[in-house]
Amino acid sequence: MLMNPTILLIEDKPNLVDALQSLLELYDYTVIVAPNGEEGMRMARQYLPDLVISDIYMPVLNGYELLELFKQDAVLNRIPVIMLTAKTEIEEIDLALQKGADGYVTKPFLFRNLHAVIKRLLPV
Amino acid sequence: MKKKEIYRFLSENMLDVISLHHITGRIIYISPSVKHLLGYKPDDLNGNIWLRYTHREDKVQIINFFKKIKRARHNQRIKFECRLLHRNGSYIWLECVGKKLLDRKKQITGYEFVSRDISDRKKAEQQIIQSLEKEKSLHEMKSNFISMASHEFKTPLAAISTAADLLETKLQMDELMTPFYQRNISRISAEIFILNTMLDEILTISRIVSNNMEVKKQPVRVEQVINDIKYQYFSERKDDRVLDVTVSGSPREIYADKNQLSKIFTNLVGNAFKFSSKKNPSVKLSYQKRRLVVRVKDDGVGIPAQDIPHLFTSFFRGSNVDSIEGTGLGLSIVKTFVESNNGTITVKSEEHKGTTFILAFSYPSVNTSSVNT
Repeated sequence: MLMNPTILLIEDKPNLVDALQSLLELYDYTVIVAPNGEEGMRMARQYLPDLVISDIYMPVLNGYELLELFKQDAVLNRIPVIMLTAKTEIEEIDLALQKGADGYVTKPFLFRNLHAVIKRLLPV
Repeated sequence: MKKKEIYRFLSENMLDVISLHHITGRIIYISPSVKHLLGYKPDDLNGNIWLRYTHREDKVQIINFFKKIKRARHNQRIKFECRLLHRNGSYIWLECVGKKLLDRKKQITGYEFVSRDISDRKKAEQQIIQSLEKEKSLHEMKSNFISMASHEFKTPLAAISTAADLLETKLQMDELMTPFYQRNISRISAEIFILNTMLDEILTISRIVSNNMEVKKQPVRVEQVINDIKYQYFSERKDDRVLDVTVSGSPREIYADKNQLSKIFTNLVGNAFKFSSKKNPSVKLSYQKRRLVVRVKDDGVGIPAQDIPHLFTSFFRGSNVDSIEGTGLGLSIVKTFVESNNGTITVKSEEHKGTTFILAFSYPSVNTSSVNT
């Protein structure tokens, strides 16, 4: 890949966003941030990121709704989505995967685990 | 005293109400005690039908009750409960025991009832139901609160662990990392995940205690559950150890709750990593003729023999693990879940050599699997 991959981070907790954005940038990813699903959709359409990392429980347009919109969209459905959430029940994980999530990481997470999922999903 | 007088004496002085009804339901005779029970004189009621005084919510039930008596055997008494209108406009709960009356040709001529006031019993029942509902809703509130709190705690934990990861990465990239920084950053990180496990365990125990743990059994391939947790929780470890998974025999489904199986193996494999440090822990699945046997093995500190009988008790911790954090809830949860999935769990252990947990699950019977496939 010639340019740095762009990751859209959709998450509403500023401290987590700041730390994760800085970490991803240290690994040479370009990071754009949206505080909720609705804003995330708008940015995804505008910037067409290489990968999306999204929280599930957000105030406007939650992660499941976002996944559905992504999968219905002819352009966006090619972008891999990793769900990042505090819910650990298998039902939640299964639901996210059923709705088309490409990866699932539970909070709290080790960055190296999240990074392994990112590397698996990004086109080489 | 003549027989007739005895009957009159009885029917006028007992608190229960005796009534005779025509086949149409119309009252032919009703004992004077009805005045005490419902406020009417017998003459107010004679010729009227029972249904006229029945609470509208009980009307269908009373019609069915008459049908049931008609179908009943000769002399068989049928019991039912309904509300009847008191003369003062209130409703009184009655328990009525009725049977059909037959003539010589075994044709129904009418019905006979004995009715009594059960308002006090109904009130007590209502109070019990209300207090049970209140208790249930309190339990649910508590459980929801713990669930919400556990979820809410995880977001700040994620922010702390990501900040620690960021510090570690930045120090390494800038070549400023020292053993002192490394040790303390690792400490922050490790404690976050211990806290996280405790949150999960407390949440699970609270659900078990409040009976809010629904067992959703379905056909499950256990090696898939184990591979999922291997990937989700036990990969990319700092010490480069991995979980060795081997399968023997022909894999097939067991009938179990996937979420609970995942918690069982996350806990056992988590313990295997936590209490050992050299070799890879292993999970061996052996599909035997009648059951699946799973062995979770480590070469760690082992469990002192005197601790083994108490191992699955809540809040019990091994006498040799003081320096290793834990709530003492994990294995108690594991045992509860293994048993709620009709499995068994045993342990073999030797101090300083390691521990093996042996789990066995039966395969579903033909009937069970056909319902669910």
